[in-house]
Amino acid sequence: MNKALKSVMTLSLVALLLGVLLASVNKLTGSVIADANGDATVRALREVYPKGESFSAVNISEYSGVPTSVREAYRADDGGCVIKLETSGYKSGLVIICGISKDGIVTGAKCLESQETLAAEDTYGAGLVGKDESGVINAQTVSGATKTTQGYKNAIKDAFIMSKILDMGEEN
Amino acid sequence: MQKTEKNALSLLLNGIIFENPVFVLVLGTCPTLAVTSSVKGALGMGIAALAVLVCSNTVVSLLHKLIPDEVRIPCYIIIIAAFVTVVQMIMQAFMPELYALLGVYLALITVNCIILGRAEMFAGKNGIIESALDGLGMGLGFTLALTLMGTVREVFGNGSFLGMPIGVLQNYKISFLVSPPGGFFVFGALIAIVTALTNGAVNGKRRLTCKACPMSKMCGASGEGITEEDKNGAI
Repeated sequence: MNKALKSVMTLSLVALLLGVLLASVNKLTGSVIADANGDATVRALREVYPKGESFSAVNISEYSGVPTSVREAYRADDGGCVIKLETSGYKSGLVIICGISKDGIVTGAKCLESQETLAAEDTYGAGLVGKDESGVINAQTVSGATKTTQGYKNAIKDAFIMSKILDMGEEN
Repeated sequence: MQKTEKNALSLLLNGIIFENPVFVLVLGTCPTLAVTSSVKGALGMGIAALAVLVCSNTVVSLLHKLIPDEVRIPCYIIIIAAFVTVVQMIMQAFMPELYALLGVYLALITVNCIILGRAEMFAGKNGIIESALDGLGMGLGFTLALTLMGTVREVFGNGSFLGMPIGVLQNYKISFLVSPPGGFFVFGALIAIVTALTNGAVNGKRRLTCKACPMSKMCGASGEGITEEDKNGAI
């Protein structure tokens, strides 16, 4: 058999066999991963908004002026909200979730995903808890992680904008 | 039978002590430095790499006679990447916190030189049982090395072990150790300690020559650059 053809066929066969293995494992774990992701979202919502008993997802496409960083929004049963945002720090793909109470105070903020190796900036959100919008604007960035913490801060500012948009939407 | 048991034991000990991938061969340093700021991350990475090593070594050993030489490296990479993906899916489903903790470094196991190195140098030339044992030994050696490093960094750098605070050490933390430069420092210090402790066992009093190299048994270039002294075991 032609040497090149044999190489191509072997490589294809190995890829096919391993593809079958991956498909089987995916079938077994797919539903468990989906459940785990759902649980993780609920856990994250409760973590950044401890007072919330239940949360309802908001369709952000129905609102105008939504900051581009906003990915998801949830309304808490007591009138507060939780906003999930994606921003850029030193690298893109910094996903932040932030809870804001009805009276405009940060109830919690946490990084969900990052393409960077986070150190002190991972807990940056904890320092913003209890602050209002002006408190967040005046918060110091972390030296040595300035880009990431500035991105984090900008995301929280966008969360405040989204929170106001949601409040106005309800008033209307 | 006794000989087989002895061979199995020597294959295991080879990876754990004499050819420890981290402290002796100095391979896989990227995950070693990146994930050892906590014991949990170090253990998780070690066990994930162990699973991939055993599975990929076994499959490579099973298929190596069927794979043409020209495409052996792409085939090995596909095999390794597939097992890394399997480990990723299982970890994401059943250990989501550990999956999030390891982040991108879990996928980077695919390009870990320990795994491709063992596939190329050992599994591609030996039987299934020997290759699986080699993978197990190397994986255990990697896990133990990472856990040791993670323990030093977390205990002294963060005053905790597996996330549980150690009362006395909470007031005497050396935060530098959990930072990236601290990783290099601990890595260098541990290599120095292991080299000092195992000097007799690993290299004896031999001069560092081609024959004294731990990889010389598997190296395809046996004989190249070896002097008469080397052939005699270079003292």
